[in-house]
Amino acid sequence: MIYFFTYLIYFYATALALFYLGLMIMSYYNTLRYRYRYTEKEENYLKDFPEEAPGISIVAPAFNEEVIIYDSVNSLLNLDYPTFEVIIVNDGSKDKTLDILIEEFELEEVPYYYAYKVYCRPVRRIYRSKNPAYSKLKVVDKENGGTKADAMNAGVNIAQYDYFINTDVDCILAEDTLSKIILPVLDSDKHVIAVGATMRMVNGCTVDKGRITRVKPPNRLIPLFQETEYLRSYLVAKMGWSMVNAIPNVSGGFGLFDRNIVVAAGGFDSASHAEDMDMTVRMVAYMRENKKAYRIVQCPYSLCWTEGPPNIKVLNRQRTRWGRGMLQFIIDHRKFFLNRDYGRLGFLVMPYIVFFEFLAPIIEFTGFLFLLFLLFSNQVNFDTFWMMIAYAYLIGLSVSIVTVSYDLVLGKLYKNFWEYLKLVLFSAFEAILYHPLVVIFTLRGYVQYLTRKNFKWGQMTRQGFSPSKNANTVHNNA
Amino acid sequence: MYYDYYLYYLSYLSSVYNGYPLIIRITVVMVMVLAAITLFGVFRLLYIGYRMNRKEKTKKGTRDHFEEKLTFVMRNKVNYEVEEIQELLQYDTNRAKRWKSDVLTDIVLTVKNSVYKEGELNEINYKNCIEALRLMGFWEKRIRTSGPDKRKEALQIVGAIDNGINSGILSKSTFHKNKHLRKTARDLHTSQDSYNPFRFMEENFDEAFTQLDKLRLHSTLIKRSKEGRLPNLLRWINNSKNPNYIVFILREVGFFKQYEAAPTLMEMLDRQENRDVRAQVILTLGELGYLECASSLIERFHLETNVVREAIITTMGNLQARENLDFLVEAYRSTEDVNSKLIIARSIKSHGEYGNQELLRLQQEAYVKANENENTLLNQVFSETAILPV
Repeated sequence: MIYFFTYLIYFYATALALFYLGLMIMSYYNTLRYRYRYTEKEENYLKDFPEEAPGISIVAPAFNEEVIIYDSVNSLLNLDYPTFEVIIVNDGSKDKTLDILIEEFELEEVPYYYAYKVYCRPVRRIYRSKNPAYSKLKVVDKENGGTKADAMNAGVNIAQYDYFINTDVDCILAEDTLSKIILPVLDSDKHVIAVGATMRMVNGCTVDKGRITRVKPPNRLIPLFQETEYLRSYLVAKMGWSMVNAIPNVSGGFGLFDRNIVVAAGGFDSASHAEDMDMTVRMVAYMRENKKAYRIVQCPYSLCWTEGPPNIKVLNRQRTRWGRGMLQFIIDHRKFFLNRDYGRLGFLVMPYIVFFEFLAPIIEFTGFLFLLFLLFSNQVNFDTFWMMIAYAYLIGLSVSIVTVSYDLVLGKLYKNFWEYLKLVLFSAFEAILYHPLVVIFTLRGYVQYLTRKNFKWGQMTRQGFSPSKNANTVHNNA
Repeated sequence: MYYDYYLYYLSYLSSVYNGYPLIIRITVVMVMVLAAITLFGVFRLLYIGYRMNRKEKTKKGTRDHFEEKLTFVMRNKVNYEVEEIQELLQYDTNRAKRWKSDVLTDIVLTVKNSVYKEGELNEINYKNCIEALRLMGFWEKRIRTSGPDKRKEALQIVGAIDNGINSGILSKSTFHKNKHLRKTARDLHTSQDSYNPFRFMEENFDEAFTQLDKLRLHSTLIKRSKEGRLPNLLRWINNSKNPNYIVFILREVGFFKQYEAAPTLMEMLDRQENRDVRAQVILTLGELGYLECASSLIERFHLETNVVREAIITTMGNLQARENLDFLVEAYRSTEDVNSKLIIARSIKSHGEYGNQELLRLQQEAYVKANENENTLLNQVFSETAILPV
């Protein structure tokens, strides 16, 4: 039994290491290829010929976001792209979110034939601005649906363009986001159903009027660790998966989706706690079932900045929700697992999610308990023990360091080179200070799902971006 | 020579773990590999940082030295000789390092674009600046000798310099197996070649024709149209079987207002089996304001697919002939699809005062029938101009 368990953990770690090595190689090739393929010249075509640029709808649900809503909408309205609309879905906010929107953007209710193409809670009103400066803004006021998915559906129903961005109001998008994210769609000979991009932490950045004026790594520990974690996920994992068209998840924080495919696949699942992964997989399943060729692309550039959990309490909320969502996702979509009708989704994406994302915290936690047992029962061979510890530690560290170098290859975002070294330095402590927390909180999410406890959409507490309202550097006090 | 050393240390390492199970030996190897990746990653990071800093510094130095002088020359109404410019810039091309041409191109293009925007660009001096700095030679060499990614970048820069290029240099790239490089080269050929620029346009441009290629070619055709009249674009689709390419050319026919193409387009409408192509033919006829097509479009409206029907409605809106209003109103009444109703209502509204009257009449009918949905839909269309355009 002891041998079986030891070997199980060992081979699991080795498989993970080899997997990541493979992804690192693929993502390196893919990142360089992407960098040369799409230059400023391609982006300029869209600006020079605005009538040819495909329209994009930006859908951002807002629930009790009075602190940040003004800056956030302003920031979205000022993106540098010729044809887009901003759809803010007020998901039954109980604070002054809607009042602020009406007052600041000179909104008035307009008659609108609202078609429920995908299910959502009833829509009360549609608002548009009287001021031409805000002509791109539409506000949907609806009853609270309890999940982001429900609010997204309300926005998708009203979106007029073929592609829409799924984002949150607490996210700050780079000014050239839309031209960067649409290029892979325009340049593909296959139907691109979704595009993801790199997300980073806004904590620590200097923000002025909803625009990031200085990118910095976060000052607090948890967002700092999460910055490296995000970079690993986007620049290594997703860029690697993108090479073989097997991206498991286009993030709910920021992603471009084909509206018609989303509608055809039934829209976002209001009951899901991982609505982004659920939607991605259902879109892929729809394309497979209808025998249509498709691509999901990952853009390596950092296009979206979001508030990371500033403390353990908020991290706990975030990760337990992700944990719940993960387990729910696997149970809901078990039919895809090793199902040859779904090709890569069945034989690559689902096994990866089950073995390396869902099982990882379980194996790590039981491995830790097992180690304690071996230590107490004096069954540890210390000649090789340190070797095994170094092995497990180096898997994470090496990937983090390589990731930071990939990020730098794409362009220097931090002004100071030492800020990159800060990321590297702190990634050395991630395995000790941060990762155990993530494991515990994810397991807690699994337990919550199984016991059906605390099934609420966790909410972040915002402090806001605007220098006029608070400080010009974002700190969260949840 | 070093092989013996490696062998020695390898033997030493294997002796240390001699007698251990295979799994431990594998772990040792894995730890060494991961440690090497970690160290390599750190050094690579430091190296990239160093290179970036150095590039920034040199760029700043070069910019400080050249920018002002280049702006002076390109803006000046007096034409300067190449030697005069070289003397002014104090730049010895024979001693210049390779990276310098790269940085200089960036500066030249920035200066050119800003002076051009101000409407003060002296084209002769600009071309002489390129000659004085020997930039074309540098980029042509890169096109000939680099790998696909760098070559594609070089092609784009040559396109931005816009100083013409010998098509012989491009020939290798225009048939390269890398489709991105190939298409960039073909676009550059169309944009810069003076002998047979539209060669690839006649040959379907490329089998992997995407939306981005449409943008590239649209830009190139605009540039060509500024230099002289474009040929009849329809001749490029005679041999094409790619509907995507045909649709693009048809759009360009409308964009460049090639009115003489309208009768041929009417003939095409009867022949074409692809619905997207038919829809684009109809939209192009609308763009060209070809009023004669109206009766034919009305005839085929009820037999067509949704895409083509929507194109007919949009075209009717573009043509804005009063006699088409009856048709649009009838189409509105007969359709059940909400999306189509919206398009038709907008098309009716584009007919101005008469259109608004018809919409009011339709709203009255909806009111009488107590059709709340239709009433809302028409109110929406009315409010779109009252509040803001769609």
